[in-house]
Amino acid sequence: MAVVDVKADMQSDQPVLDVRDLKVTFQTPRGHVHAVNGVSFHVEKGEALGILGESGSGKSVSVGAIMGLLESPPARIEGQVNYRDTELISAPASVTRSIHGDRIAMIYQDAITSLNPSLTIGNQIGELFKVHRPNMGRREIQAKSIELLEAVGIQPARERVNSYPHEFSGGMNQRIMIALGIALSPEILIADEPTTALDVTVQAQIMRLLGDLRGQIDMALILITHDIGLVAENTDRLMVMYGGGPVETGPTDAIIERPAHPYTIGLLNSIPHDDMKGKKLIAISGSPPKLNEMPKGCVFAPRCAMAKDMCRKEIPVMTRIAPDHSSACHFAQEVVDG
Amino acid sequence: MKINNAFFAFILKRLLNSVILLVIVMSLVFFANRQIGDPARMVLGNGASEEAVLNLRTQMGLEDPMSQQYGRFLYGLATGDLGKTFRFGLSDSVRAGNDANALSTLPIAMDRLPATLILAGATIIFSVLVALPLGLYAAARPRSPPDRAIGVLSLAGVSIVEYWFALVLVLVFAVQFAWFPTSGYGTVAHVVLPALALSLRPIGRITQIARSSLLDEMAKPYITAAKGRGIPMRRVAAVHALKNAAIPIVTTIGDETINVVTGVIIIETIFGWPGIGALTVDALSIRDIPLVEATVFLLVLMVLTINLLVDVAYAFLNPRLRIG
Repeated sequence: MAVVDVKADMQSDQPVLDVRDLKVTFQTPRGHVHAVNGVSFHVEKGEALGILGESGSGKSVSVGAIMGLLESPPARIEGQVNYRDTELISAPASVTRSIHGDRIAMIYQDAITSLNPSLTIGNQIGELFKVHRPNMGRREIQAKSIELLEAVGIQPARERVNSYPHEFSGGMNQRIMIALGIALSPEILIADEPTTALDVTVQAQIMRLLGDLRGQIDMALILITHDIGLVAENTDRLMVMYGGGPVETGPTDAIIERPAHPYTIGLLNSIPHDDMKGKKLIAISGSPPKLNEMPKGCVFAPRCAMAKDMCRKEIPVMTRIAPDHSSACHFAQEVVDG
Repeated sequence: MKINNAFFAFILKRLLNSVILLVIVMSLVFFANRQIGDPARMVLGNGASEEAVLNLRTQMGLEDPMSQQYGRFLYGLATGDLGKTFRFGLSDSVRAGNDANALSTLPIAMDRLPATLILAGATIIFSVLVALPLGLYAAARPRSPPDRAIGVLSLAGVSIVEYWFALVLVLVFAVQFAWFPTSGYGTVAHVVLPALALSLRPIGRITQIARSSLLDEMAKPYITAAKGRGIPMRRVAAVHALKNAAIPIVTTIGDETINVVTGVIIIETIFGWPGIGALTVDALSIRDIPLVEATVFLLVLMVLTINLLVDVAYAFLNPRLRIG
């Protein structure tokens, strides 16, 4: 066992994914929209990173850039996305194609629209092997596809492999998406709101399935969501995003116990608890900034109860409040201290 | 591709619908035909006596009570006997045949079927061969100069009136350059101008629909997801998008084939093409009611067959239609 540990330690020296100062700007007729303004984060082998934010916070655009899904133009992407030794933004399509879907895979929010309605699920899973593992034979692909469906709990897999997406429920389709995501045992699985479209009970099943599969193939997870409960239960580290950039990063537990940014506090306050019975739920007032008319200074200042003059003038930088815990608030220390 | 009982039930239902539609349309034709003038007077001329006209009307069965005429018509429809032509010596085939059967309208109309099928078939095959590559080429580079040029041309295609275009074609390519015959039937050269005239609109429409439906599909989440799985662009477009875009494209090809089948009425007349369309115009101009009924019957049958073929194509293209 000791040997295995050493090996794992050696590999974790270098993160599997290292995103540095990622910026995404969309050129529109009405001017430039800054969707992502300098996002940096890394993912260690096998760990679960949560990216938490409202719609418009830039979380989905960030992973779109990582997955090469943004049309350019109109998108302009700057910064670095390093998968091991390959920088994906500048790499040619032939290189990124061999990584996307194979080493870094993604599952999407709405499974039924993310699957091709006119191809059987066997065809869609089989295509992955055909494209990424050209040496695999037809029989082998068929057997592997059935095995995958079994792994995600589609029964009886041997028959269902020839079914079309519309013949499954929403939860089953999300399982099929997951099968597509894990088919080639990727090192990183990006899950963009994987349970938002599902019933609460199905949500729990899907997250349990993802957890089990991660244990089996040692896969890192990037969980993108607006649901703070979901990241609390399923991630090791967390990046809270607001207005196109990170506002707080750190271990998930630390952030939830000692939030260091007023926005994170606002998010935590807006979840109902048992001990809040009879009290009004506190929502964050106002709405997120429009990406083409960003406020000067701190992007959260217009909605922040603690905002002072300084916040409206100067952009706060990420400051460390604990070895692994940072916040982009001028008053981070005061926020933590309460 | 699995074809199950639901698929056959679906086709059977469509077939039944077609038969009902055929009866309804033919009934409308039956009643309309009895409002367009007196065929007996058309045959005998204006100078004929009332007695002679009445005599011929009785012979033609037009003096029988309407219910009896309609009953006879429906029975004829079921047995494939749509009556005898009112005018003798109407066409070559009638003149050639000495037996009474040669006067039956359905065989007369059937004789003209191959010519129409050749013209319509050539038109549609040509249209699809031109329009599909144009539309897909344009969709691959939206808003580029070639895309805009194709857009203008296809808009012109659907906007230009085909009989005007037919006359222009005749003036330019038959009269001016004498590359093709002005009219007639029999050689490949004879097909070119009428098929070109008829294909203008289908080319325009199919190009437009092929472009827009492929672009629509390319913007859908399953395409993004396929790209995210590292599937090469070419394969994403050709396998994923085209399979779904094919449904509206096939619908349009079906619609346009129907338009061509009805469009032959004018174009065949202009080009002296001996098909069902020209025969319909001939028969109508002399109020030959049974012959009109026979030609319309064949035209409607063609339209329904095309619709049925499109439905079958749907079932193959769209798996959601194959169930339940």
